Amino acid sequence: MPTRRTVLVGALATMGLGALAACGGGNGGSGGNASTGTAKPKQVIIVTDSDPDSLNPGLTTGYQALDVNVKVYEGLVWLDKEGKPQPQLATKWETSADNLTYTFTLRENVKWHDGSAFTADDVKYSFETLLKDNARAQGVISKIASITIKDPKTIEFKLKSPYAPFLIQMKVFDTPILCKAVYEGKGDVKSNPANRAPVGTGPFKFGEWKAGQSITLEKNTAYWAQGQPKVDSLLFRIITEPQNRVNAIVAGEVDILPAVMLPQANIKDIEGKPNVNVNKQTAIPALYFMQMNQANVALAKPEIRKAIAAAVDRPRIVTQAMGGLAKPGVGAWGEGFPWAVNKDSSYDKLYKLDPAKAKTDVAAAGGVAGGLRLTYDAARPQFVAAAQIIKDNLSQIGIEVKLEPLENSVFRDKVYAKRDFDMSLQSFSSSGDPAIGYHRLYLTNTGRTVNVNPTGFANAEVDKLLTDAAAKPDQAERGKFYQQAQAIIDAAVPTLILFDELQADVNRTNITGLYVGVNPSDQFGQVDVK
Amino acid sequence: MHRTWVVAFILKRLVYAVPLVIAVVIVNFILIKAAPGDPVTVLIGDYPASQEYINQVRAQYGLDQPMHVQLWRYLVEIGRGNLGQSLSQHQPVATLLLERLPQTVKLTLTALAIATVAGVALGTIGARWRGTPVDSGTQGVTLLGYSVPEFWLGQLLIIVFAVQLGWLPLGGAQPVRGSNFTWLELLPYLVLPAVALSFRYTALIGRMTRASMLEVDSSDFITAARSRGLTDWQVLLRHTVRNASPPVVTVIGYNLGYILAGSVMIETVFSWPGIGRLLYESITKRDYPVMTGILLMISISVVLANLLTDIVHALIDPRVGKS
Repeated sequence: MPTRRTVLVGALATMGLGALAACGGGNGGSGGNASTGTAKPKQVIIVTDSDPDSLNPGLTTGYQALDVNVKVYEGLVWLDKEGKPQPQLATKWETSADNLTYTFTLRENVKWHDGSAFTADDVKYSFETLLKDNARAQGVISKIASITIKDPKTIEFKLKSPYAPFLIQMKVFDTPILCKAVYEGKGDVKSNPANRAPVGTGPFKFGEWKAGQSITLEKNTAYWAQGQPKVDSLLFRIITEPQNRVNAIVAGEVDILPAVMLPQANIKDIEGKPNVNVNKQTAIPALYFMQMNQANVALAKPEIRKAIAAAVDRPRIVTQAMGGLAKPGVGAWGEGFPWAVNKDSSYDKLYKLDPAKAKTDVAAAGGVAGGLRLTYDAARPQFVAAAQIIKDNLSQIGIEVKLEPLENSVFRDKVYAKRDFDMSLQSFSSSGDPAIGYHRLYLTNTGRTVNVNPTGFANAEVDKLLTDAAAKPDQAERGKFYQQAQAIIDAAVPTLILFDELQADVNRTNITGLYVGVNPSDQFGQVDVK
Repeated sequence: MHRTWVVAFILKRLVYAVPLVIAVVIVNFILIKAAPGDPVTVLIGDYPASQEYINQVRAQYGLDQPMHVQLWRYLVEIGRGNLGQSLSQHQPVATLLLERLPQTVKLTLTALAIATVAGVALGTIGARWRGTPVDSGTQGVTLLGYSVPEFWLGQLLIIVFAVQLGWLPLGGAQPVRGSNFTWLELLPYLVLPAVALSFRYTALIGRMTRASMLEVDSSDFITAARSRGLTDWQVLLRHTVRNASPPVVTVIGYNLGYILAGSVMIETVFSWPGIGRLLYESITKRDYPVMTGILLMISISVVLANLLTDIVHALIDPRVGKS
C-alpha cells in the first residue's frame, strides 16, 4: 500500500511528467524538409485566420476556403486588370446576337490532379449538381435555362434572359469547375473525402491539412500553363488574432497577408517597415453602408434620413475606423465602377456635412423620440469604430444612438429575418460588376430574403432601371440606367454609403510575380521567391 | 485492505456521474438552442438567400424539427456513442475533437504543472516569511494573477516576448515549415500560452497554499515539533507541507474546469490548434453539434478530475477515507 507521501509525490510528479511527455509528442506530418536536397524548395506562406469549413466550393461561402480553392480549382475565365474575361479553362467563347447563348470552347490537354482528363461533362456537372445549392454561385446559376454539351470540348449555356455580368461570373471565385468523377455516385456530397482533399485543375494541388494550424498546397507539375507554377508549395498559416497577423508579416514569419485578412486600422504598423510591400487597390469594389429601417416612425421620414446623411462625418470614419484605407462614400454605387457613377448626384452636393442645419431639420421634422438603435457585427473592428463615430455625430443633431453590437449570426437574424433594427452597418462587395453585389442594396424585398435590402425602401422605377442595367450588354447604355437609379436613390437615401473600401494586400519584398488585378489570389502560378 | 474501499468508492462516484453528465447535456442543448442566432445564416455568408432556400437548408440539417425532437434524437445518438456531424465542417464531431484534443491536453497539463510548482512555491514562501515584505510581495503577485484577464495577459506577453524581444514565437503550436519536430523545437511555442494560462491558477494555488500552511502552522503538533528542537525548515518540510497539502490538492483538481475555460481564450489569442479554439469558432458559427460535443467532453473531464482529486485526497488524508 502506498504511503501518503508517495501518493502525494507521485501525483505531483505525474502532472509534471505528463506535461513533459506531451511536449515531446511531435507531429508526424509529411511536409518536405527544407534542409535536405540540393536546391532549397521554394515555399510561400500566406496568412489565413481559421480553418476553412470545407474545401468543396459548393458547400461553403467562407473566404478562408476561397483563398485556398482559387489556387486549386479554375474557372472558365479569369479577369484581367481591366476586369475583362480572359481564357482559363475555356480558350474562347461566342455570344449569340440575342445575348442569350454563350458557347465555350474548352482547353485541350487539361488534367485533373488525379490524372484524369478534364471535359465538358465536368463543367455541366459542376453547374447543375455541385454548385447549385451554394449561395455564392446561385446568383448566376439561377439565370441559366439550360446547359448542353456539344462535344467533349464544347459547351453551350442558354440564359433565361440577357444577363450582362454572366461571363464575369464564370471566374473561379463564383463558379469553379469541379471534377465529376470525384463526386458522382460517391454517396452524400457532404461526406466526400475530396471536401478536405480537393482535386482540381489549378497550378497547385492539395498537399496536407493540419487542423487548426495550416494547409499546404504542392506544385502541380502537370499544369497546362508552360513554366507554371514557379514555387514548390504554398502554405496557408492560421493566425487567429488580427494584431498577430500584422506582427507576423512585419517579423517575416509569413510572406503574404491578403487584404481580407488585414485589420485596416493597423495598416500604419506595416507601412514603411523594412522588406514589406503594401499594394493598395480598389480592385474588388466593396461598399460599407448604414441601412435605415423605414419601419421606424422617424426613419420613415425622408427629412430625418437626409439630416442623418448630412451629420455623419464620412471622412472621419475613413481616417479613424479604416486607417485611411477607404474613400468617403459619394453616392448609391460608391466609386468602384466609374462608368456607373452619377457625378451630379453626389453626397458632397446633396448632403454636405452640416450638423447645425441637420439639427434644425431633425427638430423641424418632429425629432426622434427615444433615440435610435445602431446594430452591427461586433467582430468587425471597422464597424465597432464607425459606430462610435456615428453615435457621436448624431448626438450633435439631437439623436441619441444606442449601440447594439451583435454576433454575426444574430445580426443577420435580427436585421434580415426579424427586421428588428433601426440602423444597421454592413458591407457588400461586387467583384467585376455592380449587378453582382450592389443591386440587392436597393431592390424591393418584400419576401425577407437574407442579405437583400431590409430597409423597406421600395421603388418600382429603381427596380426596373436595375433590371434593365443587368440585361444590356453595352456598358455606356448600362451606365445611364445606373446614373438614373442613383439620382432617385440618393434623393431618398434609404441607405447611407459610408465609404468605398481600399484593399491592401501586403507581401514581403522577396515575393515576386504577384498579379495586381481584380483579385490577385487566383494568379499564383506566376508567383516566385527571390 | 484499502483496495476494495477504493474500487467501491470509484464505482459509486461513476454511477452518480451518469445522471449529472446527462443533465449537463440537456441543459447545454437547451441553452445553446435558446441563444439567438442561426447556423444557416452563417452557412449563407454575405450572399442573398430567399426564405425557401433557408428552409431547404434547415430541413437538410434537421433544424426544422421542434426542439424536443432534436434533443431526443441527439440523446439517442449520444447513447450510441455518436456525437453527430459538424454543420459547418461536414465532419464527424468526434473526429474534430480527437484531432484537437492532444494539443489541449499538452497545453493544459503544462499550465497545470507550472501553476502547481509556482503556486506551491509562492504560497510556501509567503507562509514562511509571513508578515514581512516578502509575504506582501507574493500576496501582491497572487492578487494580480487572480485579477488580470488571461487574454489580455496573453496579448501583453506576445508584445513583450515575441514582438519586442523576439525571444519566442508569436503563436501556433509548431514551426511553420518542416515536420517531425523534436520537443526542443516545440517547447518555445508552448511557453507563452502555458504561462498565460497558468497565471490565474498559480495565484489560486499560491493563496490556498499560504492560507493552509498558516492554519497548520498554528496547530499544537507544530508547536510540539518546534519544542522538540526542529529547525524552521525541518518543521516546514516534514510537518507543515504534508498536512497543508489536502486543501491544495483539492483546489488543483476542482479547478480543472476553469483551466479548460481559460484555454478557450488563450488558444484563440495564441492560434493554438486545440479544443478551446474549436469551441470559440463553433460558437461564432452556431455549429450546435460541435458546441454540445465539446461541452459534453469538458463536463466528463471535470467529473473525472473531481473523482481523481477525491481519490488522491482520501489517500493522503486518511480521515476522509474513513468517513
